[in-house]
Amino acid sequence: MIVGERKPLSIVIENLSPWRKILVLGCGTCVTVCMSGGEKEAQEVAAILRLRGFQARALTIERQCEMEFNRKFAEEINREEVVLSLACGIGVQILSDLFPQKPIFPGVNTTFMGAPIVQGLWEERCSGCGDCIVHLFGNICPVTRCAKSLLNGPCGGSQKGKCEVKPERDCAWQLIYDRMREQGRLEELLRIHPPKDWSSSRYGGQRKMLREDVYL
Amino acid sequence: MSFLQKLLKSGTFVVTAEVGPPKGCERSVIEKKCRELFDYVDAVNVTDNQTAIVRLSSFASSLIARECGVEPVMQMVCRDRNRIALQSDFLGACALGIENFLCLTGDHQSMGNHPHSKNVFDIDSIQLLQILSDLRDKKVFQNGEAVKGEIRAFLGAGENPFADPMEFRVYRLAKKIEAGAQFIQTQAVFDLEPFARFMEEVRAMKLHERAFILAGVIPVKSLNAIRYMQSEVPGLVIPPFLVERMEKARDPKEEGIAMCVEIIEAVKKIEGVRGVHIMAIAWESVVPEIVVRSGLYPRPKRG
Amino acid sequence: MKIASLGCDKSGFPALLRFLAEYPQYRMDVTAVPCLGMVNEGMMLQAFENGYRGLLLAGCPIESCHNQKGSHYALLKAERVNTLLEEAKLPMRVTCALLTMDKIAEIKRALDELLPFLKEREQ
Repeated sequence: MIVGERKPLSIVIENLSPWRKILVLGCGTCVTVCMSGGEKEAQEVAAILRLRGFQARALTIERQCEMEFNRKFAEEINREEVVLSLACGIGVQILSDLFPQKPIFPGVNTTFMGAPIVQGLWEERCSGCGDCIVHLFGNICPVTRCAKSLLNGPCGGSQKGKCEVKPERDCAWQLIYDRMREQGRLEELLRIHPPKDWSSSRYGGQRKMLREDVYL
Repeated sequence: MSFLQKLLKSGTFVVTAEVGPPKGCERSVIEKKCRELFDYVDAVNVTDNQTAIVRLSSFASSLIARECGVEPVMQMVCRDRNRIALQSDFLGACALGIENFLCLTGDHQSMGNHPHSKNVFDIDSIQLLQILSDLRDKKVFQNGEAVKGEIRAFLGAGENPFADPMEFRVYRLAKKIEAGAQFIQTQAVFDLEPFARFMEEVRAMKLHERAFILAGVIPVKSLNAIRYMQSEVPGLVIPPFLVERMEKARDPKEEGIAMCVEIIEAVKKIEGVRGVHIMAIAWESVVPEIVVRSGLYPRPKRG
Repeated sequence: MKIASLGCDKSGFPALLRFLAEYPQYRMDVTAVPCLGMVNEGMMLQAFENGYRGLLLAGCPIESCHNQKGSHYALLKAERVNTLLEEAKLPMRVTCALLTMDKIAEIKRALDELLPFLKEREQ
């Protein structure tokens, strides 16, 4: 899922300051699960905006990243001056593609692709490099979870299973080592992995996927 | 062949030291350090924006060291440059007569003085070793295209025998040697017992026959310095008894030098250790005394 | 300045009533709830939208909450609402008093902290 966190309200209010009639638009998918932009948060932000003198109301769309979900709310969206979208960065842009005349502001900072680990804790798991190789590393992605994206083993700063960059973070390579040992596959880690092909990653610019068999 | 490589091949127990470039463009800083070290070391490591703090580049500093008559080991880290820039700088350095290279991954930018920057980490140190050795031996760039000209380069890598997962360290060293490392400079040795154990594993895998291993040492200047290194510097393991020793010392500087000399004498006796690398960070002036007191002076004459 | 209070009917609510009887100089509206755990951020913000400047949540001590985690969550939610208000530079605040029904001094302490704060913010 996409994980995001609430944008500080001081910044949101500053961005909205030239406007009066605001539609706070929550999203019912990922940001609902990570509790940053769902129905509840949209209601809260709308209440705060009203306390600050805006005319704000809240509405939640099931999935802002899909055009057809947004279309149904065209009337509601057009009625207000601006939209404060609490969806991820994808939702904000899709909404804007659909309502190009409408000023739309982000109310959430999209942070990463990850998962809830326990209630209240989310962790990044994937960087979308476009060429998945996790099977080589005990299904712990070194590209995402090692601060230096090392493919050939831990750096010299791994200590007691923790990352030198952030001691509260597990060293990805310690996790890789432990899991490969558990699976009796340590010798696979002796292989030298050549430089990764990053052309499938976002370093090639915006990516697209076309499936001709299902394309309309 | 570089002077450092020649000495190692001839079986000489070598001495290298670290020269940190200044936070500015004064070449005199490097010249002064090189003058101090000239008679006492065989080569100097020139660090590449060490601890992610912006300094005079290792490439330019290496050239300045070379002009001072001291052979540089140019450090290259993967944090700031991708495979295009690293290959290009390597060729440039070769063209200007730099012959020793130390391939490192590099400290993370968040530990340095520009923590808001992006990092690169297009490749890691092992991949860099592979790329540079292929440029030299197979005469190809990383993409397989031919490279022109004769490349003379002596390639090295670092290794930290004291980091976790400890059991994997010797295998990581093997990967570095497999990828093309001809010499290794280790993280600073303070605790001899785990280092001896590491070297035992090295010998069991006969890695000491495939690469020259130089033990790193750090002279400690004060009690604060050793405490700082013990608690704040990732990758350094300092046993408590050494901290105690500094606590009790009447003359901490003298104690630090004595400790360093003892460690050098001890690692010299370990089979497979072919030299020492003295990292006297911000205390380069102590290196001559350490070299003399360790019985490593005079150094062989440069050719 | 209007102050609202929500009191758990097992502790906070009777304590609030006793407090107001004993200290008539303090004025606030009192509402009973079954447990502080049911008071959510939306309700707190609603109180402010209804014109209250301060909100006092009075309920059982954390360890004796009849619903185990009710008071614990109330504290966290109150803190979250205060963070939102702070970020939005709004002058309203929520405060909590966790007590058994006879410990009305705790209510006085909470109000004596809250009221000067609100007054200061009002200017």
